[in-house]
Amino acid sequence: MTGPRRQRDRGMLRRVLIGTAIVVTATVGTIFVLEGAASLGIVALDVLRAHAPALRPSTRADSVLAWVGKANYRGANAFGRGIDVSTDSAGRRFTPGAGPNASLVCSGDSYVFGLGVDDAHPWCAQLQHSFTGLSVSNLGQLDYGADQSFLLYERDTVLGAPRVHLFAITASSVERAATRQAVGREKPFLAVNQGRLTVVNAPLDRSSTTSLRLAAMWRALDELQLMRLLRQQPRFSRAAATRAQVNDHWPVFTRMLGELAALDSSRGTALALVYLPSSRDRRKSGLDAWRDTLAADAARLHVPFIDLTPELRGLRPDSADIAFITSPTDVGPFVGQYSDVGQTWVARTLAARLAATPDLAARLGSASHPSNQAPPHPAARSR
Amino acid sequence: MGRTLLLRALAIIVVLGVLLAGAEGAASVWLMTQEIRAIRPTENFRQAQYDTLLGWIGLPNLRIANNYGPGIHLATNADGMRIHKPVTAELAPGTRRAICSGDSFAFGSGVADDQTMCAYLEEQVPGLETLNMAQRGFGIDQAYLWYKRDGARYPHQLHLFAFIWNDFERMALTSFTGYSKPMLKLRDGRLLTTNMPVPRWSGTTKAYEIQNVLARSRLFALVRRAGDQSDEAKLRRTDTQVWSVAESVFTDLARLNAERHSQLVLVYLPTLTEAEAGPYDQRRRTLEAFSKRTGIALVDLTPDLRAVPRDSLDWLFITANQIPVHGSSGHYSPRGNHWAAERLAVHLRELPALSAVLPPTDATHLAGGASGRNR
Repeated sequence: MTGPRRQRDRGMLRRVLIGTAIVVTATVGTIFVLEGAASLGIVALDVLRAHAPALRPSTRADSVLAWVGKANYRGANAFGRGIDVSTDSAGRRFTPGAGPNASLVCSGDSYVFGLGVDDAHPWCAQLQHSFTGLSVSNLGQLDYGADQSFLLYERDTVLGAPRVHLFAITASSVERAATRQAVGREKPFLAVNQGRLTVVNAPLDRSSTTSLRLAAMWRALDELQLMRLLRQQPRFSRAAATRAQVNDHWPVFTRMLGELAALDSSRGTALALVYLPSSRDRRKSGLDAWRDTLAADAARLHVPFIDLTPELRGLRPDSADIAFITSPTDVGPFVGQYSDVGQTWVARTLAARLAATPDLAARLGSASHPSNQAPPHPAARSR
Repeated sequence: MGRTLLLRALAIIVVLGVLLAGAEGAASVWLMTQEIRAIRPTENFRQAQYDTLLGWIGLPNLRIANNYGPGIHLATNADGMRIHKPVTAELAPGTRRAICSGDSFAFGSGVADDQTMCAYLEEQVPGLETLNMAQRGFGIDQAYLWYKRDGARYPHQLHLFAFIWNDFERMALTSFTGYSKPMLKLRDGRLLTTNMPVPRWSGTTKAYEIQNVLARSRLFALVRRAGDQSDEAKLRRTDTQVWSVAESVFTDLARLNAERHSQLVLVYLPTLTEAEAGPYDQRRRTLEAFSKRTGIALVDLTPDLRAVPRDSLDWLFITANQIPVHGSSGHYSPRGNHWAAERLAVHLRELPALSAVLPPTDATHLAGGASGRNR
């Protein structure tokens, strides 16, 4: 082969290689740009359509607690067909058969309120059937942080001291207690100032529609793929940030539990801390460390700590599955909340644990026959 | 001068926009790549072998103890049919046989051989022998083709052609969950099998999961947003494509059964989603109208499901984490299969056309409640 011909062949090969590289790069680049433009378009649409989330129909604004239950609310089919929601004159979840003077008060978030189930099925209402002569009051409020539950109890139960107070804590309520906002809405934030536990932002500014909308827009931006990629980095991980936030705030949380114990003690009420496991607790995770710390806090305060997580993990997988609402409904995304079956399971398990705690059992009265411990649940939802 | 500046500014904005879109797209592709890399290949989870006509068919002569979990065994005969006792092609004198066609619901995904609806039907209708000719993942088209090809080899007097709502959707596909399948079409009013011979599938596949990941790409998401993505609209789109084919299948099944001296009964099996009224009801109504028009018997168990107390519904279906085997959740549990068999038996007795087909039975047996073994 002659020199010029070899040179010509090499030149041809180079041109083919360069041409191929250009075609491949252009194709890949075009795919990237199209995919990216689609993503930007979706996010832009979501940002433009973002609206200020309204308060839940059963709640009204409150200058200290951010929101509380509306008094005498009647929501027919509010949680689905045949699943009604009612509140009493104090804005608490209505419990059928409850007397005016509650001997047992349940505090907490939506897992106490009974999001997704009717008035008769929150575990607190079912506990009423577990002990003879017991009358309960359900202080659970939707979307509350543990701090809001504490403040609500402190403020609204001054006149009627119950015999027993079950302060229920979920992983989400712990996380919410470490934040100043809930979906853009200002909520009370506790801090220790000069040795005193105080709400640093009370009275709360009523969140404007604009600020709520801006917060919704900001959340929409989280759907950017670049943001998702960024969040994979430990420095920008939301889960890690929440964990750090909770851990930083834990001394305040501990202090709050101490004040709660002191408050109940001064009223002659027996306090018990109850950890309600959600589906996030079904398997071992970082949440276990919080439960351990809670157990240690309770022991230090000489307060009974009832953690239902081991019982949940001990359930057969299919039983644990149906303890939670699994399908979205037309009226709300209640997925992950306790189903009717789950509420009954909590009530029965809790009743057994309460009956096994001598001080609490003595205050609650004699346990009903096991078959009477919970009402039947003909309207159990199969979600 | 001013115009040049404006043009330059515009050019810069366009370039920045393209760069941003490129970066966003690269991030999206990277995230999808991560998802795809994390997929573990499902190795022939249907325990099936390649079939040129049907796409796949159950592996023959399987005896797998604890297939779905402790005590939940799987056995098949030489033809890949699920069996709960030895089956011969010949039928003993005086015995009647029912063939159950269908998909994983009729097959009994997640339950033991003797806990399928078809097996339980023998308890409910004494003197009736059942043969489970269902396959996991089958659409109405494949169940029909299998019966057409192999059904005559097993003499029978009753053909229970069972299906769920999703079996219509599968008729519109040339592959399902990574397994290639045939597709039926109508040409000049006649059924035509296309995509046949069915392309070979590997048995070890990531294809279905990869398809799912790609379907979640932002580009597809944007396109989907432009269309009506309600369940009603999706079902309507499917029905536009396959309904006339399905009607032809049912009509041809009736003809085949008549030739084989068998009585055809279409059996609509409800899923948990249908426990409440919804978009699927329109299809059921159309099916009922078709049945009335053609005289082809139909048993729809949806009203029976809706009559089940709410708290009992949960026990009729396999829950998400109950069985750690791919594709089991959502199917009838042993209790659900027993319930389906019991209700089916009741409705079969009500069909005048079956009075000559079903063996005479002690009426008190049918009045029994939801008792069942091993549930």
